[in-house]
Amino acid sequence: MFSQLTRQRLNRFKKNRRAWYSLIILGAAFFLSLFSEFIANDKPLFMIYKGTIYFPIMKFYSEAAFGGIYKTEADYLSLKNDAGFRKNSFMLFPIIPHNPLHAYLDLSGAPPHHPSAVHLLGTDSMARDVLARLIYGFRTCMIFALLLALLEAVFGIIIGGVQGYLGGIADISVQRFIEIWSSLPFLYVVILVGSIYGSSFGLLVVVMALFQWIGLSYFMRGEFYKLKNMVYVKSAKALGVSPIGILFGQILPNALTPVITIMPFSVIGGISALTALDFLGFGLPPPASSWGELLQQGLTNLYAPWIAISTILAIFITLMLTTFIGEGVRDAFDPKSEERLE
Amino acid sequence: MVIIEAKELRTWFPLSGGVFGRTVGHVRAVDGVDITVNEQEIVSVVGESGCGKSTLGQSLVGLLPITSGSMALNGHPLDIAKPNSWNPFRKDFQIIFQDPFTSLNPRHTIFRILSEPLRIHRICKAREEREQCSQLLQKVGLSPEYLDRFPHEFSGGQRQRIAIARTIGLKPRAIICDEVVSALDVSVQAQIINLLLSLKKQMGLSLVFITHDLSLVKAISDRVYVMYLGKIMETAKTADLFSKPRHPYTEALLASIPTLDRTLRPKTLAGDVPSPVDVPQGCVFQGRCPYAKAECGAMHPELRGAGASSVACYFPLS
Amino acid sequence: MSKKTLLSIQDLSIGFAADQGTVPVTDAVSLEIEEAQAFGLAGESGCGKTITALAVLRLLPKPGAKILSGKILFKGVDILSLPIDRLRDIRGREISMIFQEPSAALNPLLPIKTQLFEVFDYHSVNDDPVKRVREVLNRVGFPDPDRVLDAFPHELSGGMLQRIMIAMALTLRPALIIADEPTTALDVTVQAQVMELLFEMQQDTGTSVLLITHNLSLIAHYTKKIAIMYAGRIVETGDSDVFLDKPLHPYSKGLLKALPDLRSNKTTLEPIAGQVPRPVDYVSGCRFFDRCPHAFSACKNKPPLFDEQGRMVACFLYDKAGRLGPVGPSKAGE
Repeated sequence: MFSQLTRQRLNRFKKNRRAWYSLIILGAAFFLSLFSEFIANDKPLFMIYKGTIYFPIMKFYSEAAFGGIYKTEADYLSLKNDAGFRKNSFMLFPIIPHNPLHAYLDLSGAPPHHPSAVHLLGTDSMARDVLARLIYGFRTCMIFALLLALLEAVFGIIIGGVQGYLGGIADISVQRFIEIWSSLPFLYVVILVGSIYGSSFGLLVVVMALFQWIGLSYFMRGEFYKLKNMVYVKSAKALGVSPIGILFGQILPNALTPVITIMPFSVIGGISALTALDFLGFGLPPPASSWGELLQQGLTNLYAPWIAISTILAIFITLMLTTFIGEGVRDAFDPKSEERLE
Repeated sequence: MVIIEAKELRTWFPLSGGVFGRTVGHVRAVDGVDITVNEQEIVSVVGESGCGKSTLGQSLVGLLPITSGSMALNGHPLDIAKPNSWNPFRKDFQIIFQDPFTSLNPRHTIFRILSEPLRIHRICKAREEREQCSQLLQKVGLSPEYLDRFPHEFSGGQRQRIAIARTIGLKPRAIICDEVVSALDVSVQAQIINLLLSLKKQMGLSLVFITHDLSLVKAISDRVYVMYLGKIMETAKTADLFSKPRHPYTEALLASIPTLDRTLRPKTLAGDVPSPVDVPQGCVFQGRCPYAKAECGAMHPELRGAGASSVACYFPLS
Repeated sequence: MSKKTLLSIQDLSIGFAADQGTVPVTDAVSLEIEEAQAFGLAGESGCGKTITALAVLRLLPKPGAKILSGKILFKGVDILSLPIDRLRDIRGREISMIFQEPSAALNPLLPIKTQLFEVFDYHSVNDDPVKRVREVLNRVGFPDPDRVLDAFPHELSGGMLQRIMIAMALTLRPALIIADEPTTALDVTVQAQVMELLFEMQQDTGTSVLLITHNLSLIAHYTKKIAIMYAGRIVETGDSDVFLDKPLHPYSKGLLKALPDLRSNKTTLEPIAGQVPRPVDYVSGCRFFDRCPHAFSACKNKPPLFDEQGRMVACFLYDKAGRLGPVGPSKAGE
């Protein structure tokens, strides 16, 4: 199914233990984080009450269902603490029985609270569980970065590809456009747009993608320029293949090398960018769990070092794993970079 | 019947220079070539590197923009200014390139490579494609089980076979073979040549062999064109060209080739090929011609001759 | 008249690192070049001739290529175990090399004179550099060297560049010049010029030349002794003239028959069936087995070099000591 070239590169990547395990670890972590609601939540995964099975995470049950008065959502944690209720029921909570948005105001002392058996990494300045926020924040970060990398790739391929293939006036005018576009201070644009339309995940991804494609387009321009002179392209022309057919069928599959080698580094860029924006307060609106926001809290609450330390560690490990993957990909594509003559 | 006819064909490539990228000169790759190819014949275009023969081959199939001149395929004149005017003839006039390692897309399976032209020209129905491609592979001496493999897995000779299979699927009238065996091992070259010859017989096609290998030309062509610096120096039937070359360049070319006969040492030709950007006045060969005279300096001689033999020289050898 | 042996390659086996482990590319290659001798090492692409030549100067890429076994003795000294600084003394001075693509071997950013004088920076000799450079340029056919000295590589033609490469190789009067397909990238008319020059130099200066090529006609005119390689092994050695008249190994015979020749009037070509095996597919027995019209049972073993009237052939057809099985077409061609 894959060409031999692709299989060779996959094998070389796999042989690089550091990169391969990083990919497995990061991939598994990301996959698990997609189910964050089942890992860190203050609602039980399922419970049995008076003989009926309930799935509180999936469905909304009001207090009334469990013997309460109000129609608001049941507070499962207090139900758990109610001895009487416990006797008639069975609750299975997720491994981290905390919700990132839940403020535990009834804990003794003022937030942020030290790590304890209940809150493994303590709470932040709003008394929310840090570990839960880290997990949800990881998911947000990764999805953002992956989506961003994907959009970057699409824009970069199309624009760079058109430049390289058409050359001439098309190429020159797009180059000038890129020069102007890239001189726009994208941070200000993000802030501006955010203030006008209100920041949101989608808006941030789109606005950032509108600026980040430029780097990849340089590579794609080069690849298309080089590849359009390949003999198999000439052969395809001689056989009567249309220009679109040549662009997509002949050139594009061979032009993807830079896209793949850049992707891990795009992801790193995306994670860093979102974290930076959130840190400055121009990113995702509160109360979203984000690492940047946690970092900000960590900075202002240095006497509560667990916030800063755990967040920094999380960022560091994620970026490190991604870097290993990126290096592994790069080496898989170019094993000869290590060769020397005597 | 004449299937390819070109007169006064010129393919010049502009050179830009200066601050504003103006055109400061031209590379005169093909500079006034008359060439005809008939049905079911093998014509060779021979010359050294830089003489323009590859450019000529690609111009004839419309892969390079022709600057001036006239062209007719299957008797129909073409509008050289419009590259699209070749489209109706793509099926009939094909080309195979020199480098087997870059002429097949490394990411396509052999099946995809062979079936693409069939699909574009609607040679057969979609469900017959696989069967057709199997047959094509067998025709060129390869096993049909190769259809799902990738070009990487094949040797240079096998890849050229695949390139040949790709073109004969269209049942063309003529195939331009641009140095198709130069990049192959010697022991395989003969195989590929023999394959092309047998396909020519089976399918009644014409072959235009572009090559620098005169020994090959002698062995297989009906007629020969000798090119130098973008112009035809001489054309004749093969036997005549080799036994009685009339142009001094042809003579020098024949003499400079080392043969397996140790008693015939190759004779060197003085000087170097002039640049196609800076074409000298007069006969383009005078700088190296051992017989050059004053008259050769005025204007490049026209191709003159009778029947299949013509020569562009003021003082052809007799 | 026996001359001294200049270069002796003994049982040289070289391997390349590949994804599946080390792939042996040459297998026990042995050859001897005498002083002032023109030696041709011929074979098709991939047979290992270039690798062998590069090994003489230890120019194989590391970690890609590895010398698996064997010795290379130059003037009695084992090149493979020399310390690197002694090797550098030899490079350019006693053994020099001419590569196939002159435009790739010269630095496009430096004028010719800088590159020609470069050798003097690394070797101390008695010559005056300026005088010597002009002298060699004259020798290679540049009566007015100044024009060429100030030029950059892209301003000169392929033939001129190759002649400059020859000049570079000759500058320090080496005992051996290794020329790796020096004319393959050149036109036929220029090829003749360059080969004539090389041959002349070889005769005049008493330098030995190891000519690596796939062109058997060049061998015919410009070498005294020849070795043919196929699939990593030497299959035949001998004097060039005798070889062309009477090739011994079935591969050599097939090769000569497959070449279209200007002298002859043949209108058909006789190819060798099958194709050259890739190094990953090399067998331990005779590697020409499945293409050979005379193959028989003994050929499943590795053929040693048999002596046939002073010439060496790696073929069981010449095994006079018995084990001679039925000869004849035991397999039809492909």
